[in-house]
Amino acid sequence: MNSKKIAYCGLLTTVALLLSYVERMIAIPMIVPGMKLGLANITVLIALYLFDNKTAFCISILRILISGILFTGFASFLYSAAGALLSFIIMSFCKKRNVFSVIAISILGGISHNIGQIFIACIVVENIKLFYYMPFLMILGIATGFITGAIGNKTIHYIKHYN
Amino acid sequence: MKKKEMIFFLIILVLAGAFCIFHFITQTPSAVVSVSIDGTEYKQFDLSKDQYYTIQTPQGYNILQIQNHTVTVTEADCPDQICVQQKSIQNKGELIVCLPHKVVIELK
Ligand SMILES: [Zn+2]
Repeated sequence: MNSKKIAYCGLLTTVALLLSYVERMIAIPMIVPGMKLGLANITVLIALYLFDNKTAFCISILRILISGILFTGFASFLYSAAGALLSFIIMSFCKKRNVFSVIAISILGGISHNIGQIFIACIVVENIKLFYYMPFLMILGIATGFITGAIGNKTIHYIKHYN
Repeated sequence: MKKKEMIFFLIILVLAGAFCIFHFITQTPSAVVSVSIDGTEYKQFDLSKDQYYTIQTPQGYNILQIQNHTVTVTEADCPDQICVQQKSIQNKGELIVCLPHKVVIELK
């Protein structure tokens, strides 16, 4: 691990934390209870392409842990951990297959982020009816996944080009 | 993004969109609100009677407000305050959830 990588990891984790914070301020109360957009996915996406699975995973876990301690309680921690974990698994798996574009992987990550959150919420409150929100979340996941994917795509090209 | 991927996500979008439109067309106002804690039903309220009710859970409280056939949580001592931020509900099937308190408020 060279110092450049350490610097990038620190930077990506910080950006991820910032995005989590921004997300908390623009919680979307009108549609779904406490659903997060998953903006921080962008840092995981970048780490996946610049480095490897392990680094991306560490950044994802660090973000959830720190934002859990700083901003939210245990229930929300579980909630976002489930979302982040599932989206990490899906994104790293799809990246390995080498047939998907960056934006497509980001969208799949966005969708799975929401599925993971809903799933854990159902378990916590023992009520399967939360899946009622799934179609709304699908649309939300595709939209945010597309935006973060487009930004991530540009960023990855930029960093790779100037390194 | 590749063309195949585009088509794939468009199909999902259209399906989800159709479901949402269907949902908005068919939604009907509810008459009864059911509150459950940790998966078991705790209490039911008639929406025609305006009132405040404090839901006491082992983890804390949520104050439920019923007004003009709509339901909101006006106050709670949960750490994330998500239930309080949620907008009021009035149609069958709509939910307000407080994850930290394991409270589900559901319109029937
Ligand atoms: Zn709450």
